[in-house]
Amino acid sequence: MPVATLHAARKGLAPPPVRPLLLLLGLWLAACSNDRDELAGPGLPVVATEQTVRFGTPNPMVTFDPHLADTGPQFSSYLTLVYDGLTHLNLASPFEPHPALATSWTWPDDNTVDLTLRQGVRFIDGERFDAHVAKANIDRLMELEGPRINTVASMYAAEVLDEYTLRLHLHYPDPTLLYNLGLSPGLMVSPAAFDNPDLDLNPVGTGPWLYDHSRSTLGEVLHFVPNPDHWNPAFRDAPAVDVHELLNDRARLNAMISGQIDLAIVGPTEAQPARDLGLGVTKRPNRWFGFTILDRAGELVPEMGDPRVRQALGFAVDRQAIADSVYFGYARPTSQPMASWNLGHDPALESFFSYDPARARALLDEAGIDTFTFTVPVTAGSIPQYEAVQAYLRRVGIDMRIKVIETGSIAAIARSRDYPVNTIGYPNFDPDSRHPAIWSVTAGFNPFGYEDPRLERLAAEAIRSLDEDLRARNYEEYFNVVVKEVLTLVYLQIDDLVIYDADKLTGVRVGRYIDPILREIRIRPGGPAFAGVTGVRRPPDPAQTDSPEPRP
Amino acid sequence: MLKLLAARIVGLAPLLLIVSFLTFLMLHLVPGDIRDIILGVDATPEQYEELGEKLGLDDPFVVQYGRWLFKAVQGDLGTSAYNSQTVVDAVLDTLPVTLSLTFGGMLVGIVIGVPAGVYAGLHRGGLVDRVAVLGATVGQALPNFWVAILLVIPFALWWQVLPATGFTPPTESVTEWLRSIALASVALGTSASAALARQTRGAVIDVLGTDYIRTARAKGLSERTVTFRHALKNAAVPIVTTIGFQVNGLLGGALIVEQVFGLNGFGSLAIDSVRTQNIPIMQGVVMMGTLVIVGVNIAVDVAYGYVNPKMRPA
Repeated sequence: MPVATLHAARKGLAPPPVRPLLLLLGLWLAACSNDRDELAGPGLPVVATEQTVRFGTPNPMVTFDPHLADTGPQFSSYLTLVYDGLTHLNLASPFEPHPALATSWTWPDDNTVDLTLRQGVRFIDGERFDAHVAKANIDRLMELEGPRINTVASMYAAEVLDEYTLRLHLHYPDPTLLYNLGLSPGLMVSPAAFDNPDLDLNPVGTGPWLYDHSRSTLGEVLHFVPNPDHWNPAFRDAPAVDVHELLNDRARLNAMISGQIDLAIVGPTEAQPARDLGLGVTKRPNRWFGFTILDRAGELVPEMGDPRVRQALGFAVDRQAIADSVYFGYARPTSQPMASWNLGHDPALESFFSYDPARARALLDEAGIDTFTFTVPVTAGSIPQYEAVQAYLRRVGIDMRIKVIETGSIAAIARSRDYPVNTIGYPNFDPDSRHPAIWSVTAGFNPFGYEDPRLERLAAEAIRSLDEDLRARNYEEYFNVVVKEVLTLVYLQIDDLVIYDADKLTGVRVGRYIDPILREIRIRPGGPAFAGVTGVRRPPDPAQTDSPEPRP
Repeated sequence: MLKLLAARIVGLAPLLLIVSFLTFLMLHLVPGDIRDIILGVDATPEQYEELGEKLGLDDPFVVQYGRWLFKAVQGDLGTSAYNSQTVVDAVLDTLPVTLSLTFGGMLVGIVIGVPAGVYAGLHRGGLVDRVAVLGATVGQALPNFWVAILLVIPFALWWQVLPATGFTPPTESVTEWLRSIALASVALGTSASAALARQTRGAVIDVLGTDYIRTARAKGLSERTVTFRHALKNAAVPIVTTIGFQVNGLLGGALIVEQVFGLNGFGSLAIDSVRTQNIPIMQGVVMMGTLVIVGVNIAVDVAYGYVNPKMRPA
């Protein structure tokens, strides 16, 4: 028997379980270590904090495989750092594709587009980019049928004309094809990596940044360092980028205030104190707040079938008061779904619904309705704004009841016939993609299958036309129907907000997909290292000036 | 002791089976659909149906559970529903954060709670005792996340002496590790120290009133010997029990506090996986959480045997 045990036994004490404890400690330390040599990248340098843009986002990295990725934050916060597209989008301007891996394009006919590809581009694994590679990517995109395949559904084949010319064959004319090839579907992956089982975690592109897999932890922080061999020399002095995943809004604001990150996505509740503390705030009206009427024929709630009743919902609510009190001014009253920069926006519709409760009451009287009740499904984060709407509607005799639902269930509920309206704050994408998703007779979010032949005709003509004037005319008419007959009732255009350290960063703008456009952000020359919101600060950038990506 | 460990380990299998089944069932009852997250809001009904078939979402619940269980018993907990990250990797990436917080919270709880309880018990009715009882009551009533917010404001935002968010592994820098968990540990340890102080005080008072303490004093032993050799040792059993309960409570509390400090721990992983309907990850989180809690309970049983030989299995 060991001496320690004998000694302990005499005292009536068993020896403390030291070895198991040491074993546990060892296991724990091993678990804490971030040693992943087997996955380590090509020995990427560690960049100093002063030369790193540290971004806090609530949106996790889902996949680095662009052909299986959605757009939105997934695209703008992660994929655009490590991949280049056939075209490039200036995400803060209208839907205009710019040259990227395709340097120019021509339309031999309405159903064919020829892309001239950039020469001298190599993937980070050394593979050369050419027309065969681009075709292989298009083939893979169509074979995998990822989430965005419907945005390039017009395309049925890619053909190599010569080493640097690719021809795309289309079923029908598609005015947004080149725009959509600047998003996830058009990002180019090295064909040598197509079969990599970890392509979704270890990207192999031509992008301006290299993903440092060995130092990154999914769910915590992802490190990107500039790609010294990128074909666009303007990116060679780009800062490193750290993307910190911080789910909690307040935690992101705290991290900004304490100088742990340089910019962050926030909500209006955090933007106001950030501005008061001298941080830069940049914004973009990217989504709408209101209702989309699902039960347009009144099957579930008969009163909803009368357009006058739906209009009463519009006149009864004081939009400005909700913008000021619930969104702290980071929202603007409107009556139409499309923002001023989007196709289909009609200035005359902007104030179609004024705050006029007497008119709302008169419309209800005209429809022969004293009072009626309907229920709206609302996620927890949207309760204050819908409670405000509820109070206004009550004043004209409409009893709107709020049913709180799980955030993750809102889309599934909107596809069901359980409620007369849905409350999804749709992002302001191009109307070509909104029609088939929301108002078309076959739309997933039109569960009652309501059909409006005027909308079908206008959209069908616009979606397959290369005539921009016709498209603008058709969509203007389209949204006049949507607004005036209240197929969707919009109260506000809501700003997506990003706060940033204006002392350190320049070129911070919110893109079309919630996030800041990371590719454009640079560190101010000679700017002081940020150490929290203390001391004298420069005034923030106006930040919404147009600063397109540096051209090669 | 080995018999005890063996019995516990054998008992673990049915426990894990029941837990995994109930977790799978509950996750299927959560409203929402993973297809909305994978495909986005613009998905066509056809895409929606195709993905459902591909993921096997249309299969009966029992078939889906059986498929998961078949792989799990072979040691394959699967991969994330969204990418090729294995469940084991996802869990191991986050486990150190939550274990660090739990360890830190427990340390704070023991360092503050046990001495306060002992002193209060030994000086029953005195000023310190009354302050300790009041402090323990308040401490137990304060929600962890609220204490966390209160701590962040002065230490991280005003004075900026400790980080507001983020975690540094101890293998990278022990000092930074301690700094990164300091505020969260104090936030978590507040209620643990309160519970320990109350329990310790009660245990000490109980033991001091027993016959053998009176006998020890009658034998002329010094008060120091009576206190440390006899009273505290015998008061230790309920204290160890409380520590065991508190570790489990701290694990749960850490899930909330992680959000305040933006820490990528078990809680963040759990919340994110529920939010995104990532069932494989959620199953992994629950399985690992169960293992940790069972491990803590076994450790408590082992500690019983150490502090009280009469409680060792024959």
